[in-house]
Order: sequence, then structure tokens, then C-alpha cells
Amino acid sequence: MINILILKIKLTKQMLPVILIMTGMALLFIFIFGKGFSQTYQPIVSLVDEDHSEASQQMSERLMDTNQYIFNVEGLDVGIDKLEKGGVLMVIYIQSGFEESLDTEDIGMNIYIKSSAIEAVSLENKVNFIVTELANNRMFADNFAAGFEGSPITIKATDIYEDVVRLSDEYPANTVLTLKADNTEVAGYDSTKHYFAGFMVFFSLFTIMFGIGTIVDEKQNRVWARQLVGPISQFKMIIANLIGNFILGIAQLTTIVLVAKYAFDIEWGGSIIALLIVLAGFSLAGTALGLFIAGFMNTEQQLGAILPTLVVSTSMLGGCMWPLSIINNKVLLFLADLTPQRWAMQGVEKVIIGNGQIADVLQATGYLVIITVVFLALSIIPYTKMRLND
Amino acid sequence: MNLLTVTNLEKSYKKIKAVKGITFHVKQGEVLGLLGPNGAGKSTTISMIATLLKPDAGEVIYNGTDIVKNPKAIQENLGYVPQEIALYPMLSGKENLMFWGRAYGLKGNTLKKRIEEVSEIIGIADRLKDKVKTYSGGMKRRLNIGVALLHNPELIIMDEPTVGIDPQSRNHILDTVLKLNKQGMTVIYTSHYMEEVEFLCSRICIMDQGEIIAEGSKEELIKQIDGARDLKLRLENYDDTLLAKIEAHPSVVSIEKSDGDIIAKIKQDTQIIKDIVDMINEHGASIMSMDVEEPNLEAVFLQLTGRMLRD
Ligand SMILES: Nc1ncnc2c1ncn2[C@@H]1O[C@H](COP(=O)(O)OP(=O)(O)OP(=O)(O)O)[C@@H](O)[C@H]1O
Ligand SMILES: [Mg+2]
Repeated sequence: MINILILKIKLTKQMLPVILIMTGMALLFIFIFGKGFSQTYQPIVSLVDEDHSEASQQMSERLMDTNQYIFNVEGLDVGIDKLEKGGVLMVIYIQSGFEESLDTEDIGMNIYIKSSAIEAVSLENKVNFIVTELANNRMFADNFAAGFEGSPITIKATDIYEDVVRLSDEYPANTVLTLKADNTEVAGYDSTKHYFAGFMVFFSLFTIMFGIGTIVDEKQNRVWARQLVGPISQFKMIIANLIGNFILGIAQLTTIVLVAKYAFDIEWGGSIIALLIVLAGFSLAGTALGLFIAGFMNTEQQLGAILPTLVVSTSMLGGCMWPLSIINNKVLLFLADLTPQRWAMQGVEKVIIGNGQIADVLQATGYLVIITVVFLALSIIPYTKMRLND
Repeated sequence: MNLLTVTNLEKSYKKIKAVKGITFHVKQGEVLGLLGPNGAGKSTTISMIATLLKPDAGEVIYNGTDIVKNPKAIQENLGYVPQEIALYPMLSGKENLMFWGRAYGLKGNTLKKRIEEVSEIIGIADRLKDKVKTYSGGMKRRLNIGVALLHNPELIIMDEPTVGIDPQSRNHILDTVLKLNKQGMTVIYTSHYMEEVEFLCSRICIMDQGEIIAEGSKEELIKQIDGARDLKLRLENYDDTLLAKIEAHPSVVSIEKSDGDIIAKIKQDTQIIKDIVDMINEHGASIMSMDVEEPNLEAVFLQLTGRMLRD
């Protein structure tokens, strides 16, 4: 097995220029794409507080905790004026009476935007979230205090409220953002980031499949058959190829992710480890899919003809091009679930849109591992049927 | 002792029945030739012995073990030289040898030593560092063989190892086979060149259309066809009555004219040449040239199938 791995490394070395070009291209794309939402671009937001209450104070602090935006605290007229001229992304107007309005359905707050840029949608979601949280905290405090009414102990709702606020502040900001993630999926659809995730997954699969070419090459050069004649079992050959290709895939993807982060300042959202875990799972599943396909191919030409079609069509199916939420057809959705891309997209989006952590990608990675096992098992079909091709 | 016994082996591809129930054996230490024209089923037979193809029916017993059920029994002891070159063209000769040596469990110094020995045997020691794709056809062929020798196999199967190469490489390969055999290696040698098989093999199976149509040493095979051989005559002052008279001789199988030459197929018979010369003199014709071709496997094949080995 180690022998085959050494061989794969040598064969890979021969393809190094092509691999470097592919990696470079991916980075270039990411550079262009990534500028759109990277953290280095901080939109300016006007924050108008006419309430000057504890709640409005809380609201402002919470907003400013997210360092994705620059907040200017100013008057409403100034803010609107800037918005008209395109100087700010959004005006958040906290009206007087905001604090009391938290107990009602009608929140005393307005948001003015001119475009529906992703940053605006995302901030709007955040505002909504904070408002809900503040309202919930108050409701909780009130109910709690009400429970003690008439008892010898006097508890003021405001005291409890302060405790609740203090406690919820102790949670790391990320926890809040993760909660928001599921909100985002329902509320607003962030198309640029989706495309970015889709591109990442789509491109990764090309990278992963690239290594599969060496197997077809081996069949074409008849060395695969020659290996079969020797004392290595076919199962070991397949596993060695799986491992070799997996290492190649994950090395490339890690390079892309890290270079993008440190050289281009691309912000990958939540945990970069989580992102790499998903991509590793995807490398594995993609390789297994590739092995399965390579089992049916005898020449590079056949592979060359079928691979792009296959990668593109399954990527479409798996939701790399457009979100699966717009698809209603049950059959298509079922088929989508069978593609590695669908789960890779889920994981990657969780991280780069939802700021997900490791725990958030475990499900997606689990499915990818299952897909790997399924395709490996299916690979038995083409490989046992293999015969001489004169 | 029989190293390998093949019994009623059959294999069909989608439409073609490539091997139709053949039976033969290979003795320890011999060079067995498998001679047959294109499409006879030689490679198919060999692939089944090498565990690359599963037979539809029949048995292959190696050293007492059925290798269809238990392929491992032969895999470690077999050197298989496929008909098509099976090497990594992008790697150097040495890297190829290293890979295949390791694939057969060789390591460290043993591997290094074997690579030196083998590259000496196949005569590519000076080109070891170059990529295989830069090799000439003959060098690729020789490396293709070398790869199969590394692990010192008990049995080596060569499938037309000399196809499409220069006479020099070809002679080198034939000498190598003899040398290996002298060192104790058992060899199955497949070819459609009868000269090679005649030169190398102690026993020969002639294959045609998926069947073994004759088997034995060269001498035995020739005896089988009653020693038929060609007598080539060039005559002057003769007519067809002479030819009819010659053809009537009991030891003459057939006679025909082909651009000026007269070719008579004659049986093994000490008297026959003298008889024919007498008939020609009686007729008053004169002999310009006369040539008796030694009986060969080509003649055997022709006799058995009515066709030539190679068209
Ligand atoms: N993979 C295959 N699929 C279908 N038919 C095949 C295949 N391989 C061989 N055949 C057919 O089986 C028959 C025997 O082929 P085989 O290669 O065993 O002959 P051979 O004696 O080795 O010929 P050659 O001297 O040309 O190598 C031929 O008719 C051939 O066309
Ligand atoms: Mg052949």
C-alpha cells in the first residue's frame, strides 16, 4: 500500500505544473469573489438613537460588537442625507419609546436602506435578532417577577432584567451568530455568499477528480491489470488510491483556504477548522465517487468526455449553482441528497455564511462519510468486471 | 513433474468463443511454446493462467492448487510479461523497477541488488535514469520483461515479447529466455513467429481458433504431418505430362506451379528425390535448380489448418 502511495506521489509530481495552475486559478477566483464579503470591507451604518434608554443602549452595544460594520452615531437627518448620497449602507433609527415598545408588537424602530446588498440583508437580520432577544429578555424578567407577586419576597422586574442581560452577554458573540444562521436561511437569501460557497465546492470537486485521472491512466497503460496479476489485492489498490487522492485533494484545498486567508485576507466566516473538516469529508466522498466512475473508464479520452458533464450536472443537482430551496420536485431533491456536493454545500455555507463552528458541520461531514462508504462499496461492481482490453 | 495443469479451459467474450476447452500442462523447468496465429486465443489463455481473467469453465492447477479458486497460490511465484507494454511512461526505468519490485514484496538491499542484476540481464543499465517514454520500442519491450523478473519467479509467462522490435533486441530477448531457463525458471512462451518457438521451446502447443490442434516437440510435430516438406524445382524443356507423372508418385502429396517455380509437397522418403530426378531425366527436361526446404512448424500448421501462420 505504501508502495502505491509513493508511486502516486511520483505520478503527482509529474503533474505538478497542472496542479499548481489549477490551485492558482482557484485562488484568483477566490480573490475576486472574496472581496465582495471579506471583512476588510466594512460598510458604514448610521445609528440614530432618540430613545436614550437602557434598551437602546443595549441595542447599540450589541450592534457595535459585530466588527463587520462601522457605526456612526448621528442624527436622523444627517443619516438619511448620507444614505441618499450613498455614503452609508443603512440608517438604523431607534425612535423614542423604543424600550417600552419592546413589550408590544409594534417595535419603535426603523431601518432605512436603498439597496438590498448582502451586507444590508445580513445586518437587518442581525437587528431583528437583537430586538427579539431584548424583547424576550424583558418578557422573561416580567413573567419571573410576576410569579413572585404577593409573596413575601419582593423582586423587581428590572433587577431580573439586568441579570438576564448580564448573563446573555457572557455568551460568546459567536453563539449568537450561529443562532442567527438558521434565521438567515429562512429570512434572507445571501446570493453572493451562496455562489461563493458553490464555487468553492464545485472547484474542489474538479481538484479532487483530477487525481482520479491517474487510475484511468494506469488502466490505459495496462499497469492496473499488471498490478492485478501481482500479489496486491484489488481492494488494497483501491484503498491506496483513495488515500493518495484524498491527501492530494485535502492538501490542495487547505492550501487554497489558508493562502486565501493570509494572503488575500479572505474571511472564511466561522471556524476555519470546521471548513477544512467539511472539505476533507468532501475530498473523501468525491474521491470515492471518482473511483467508482474510473472503474467504468478505460481511456483518458473517455474520462475527459464524461467528467466535466458529470461534475457540472451533479453540482447543479447538489445545489452549487442555485439553492435547493427553490426546488420542489421530490425526485430531484432525493437525487440531490445522494450527491456529495449537497452536503458539502451545507457544511461550507454553515461556516462561511452562518459563521458555523465544528459542531455545525458534523452532520454534513457524517453524510459525506456515508456517501464515501456507499461509493466504495459500489466500486466493487466495475472493478470486479474489469478485464483485459485489447 | 507438472508445474501447471490446464484442463478443459473455456472463455467467451460477448460474441466470440475465444478459448474452447483446451487442455495442456507445463513441466517444471521446461520452455513451453504456445504458437498460433492472430486471434487464436493465446493471450486469453495466458490471462486466465495469470489470474487476470476468470475462466467460464475448466481448471488451472498450479503446484497442486486450483488458482481459479485461490489466485494467491500463483500470484507471488509468477512473472507475467503482457503482450502490450505495461509500464509507467512518465517514470524512469529505475522507478518502474522499484515500484514493481516493491509490489512483489522486495525491499531495501535485496531490491537494489535485483534491480542491478535485472537491468544487466535486459541490457538497459545505462538508461535507468531516463523516463520510459523516451525509450525505444525495443528498450520498452526489454524493460517490460525485466519488471517480471525482479522477484525471481518460479514460472514466467511471456506473451509475444518480441512483437514489433529490431532483430538485435529480439535476439537479446531470446538469449535472455534461454539463460533464465538454464537458471531453472520454467517458461511459457507465446508467439506467432514459428522460428522463435522452434529455437526456444522444448515442447510446443499449436493453437488455432481457441483450440490446441497439436502438441509435442518440434520433431514430434513434424513427424505428425508425415514429414511433408517443399521441393522447389526450376526446370527447362518440360510439359505438364511430366508434372502429372511426378504427382502420381506415392510420396508426393501435391504439385503446383508458381511463377516459374514448381513446388512439390513431398513426404519423408529417402528414395523420393532420386525418383523425381530420374523421372525428369527420362522426360528429357533439364534441372536449372533444386531446393528441398526443411520441414518446419509452418508446414505443420499449414497441413493441419490449410492456412499459413501469418498472412
Ligand atoms: N476484450 C475482448 N473483448 C472481446 N473479444 C476479445 C477480447 N479480447 C480478445 N477477444 C477476441 O478473442 C479472440 C482471441 O483473442 P486473443 O487475444 O486471446 O488472441 P491471441 O492469440 O493472443 O492473438 P494475437 O496473436 O493477435 O495476440 C479473438 O477473436 C479476439 O478478437
Ligand atoms: Mg495475444
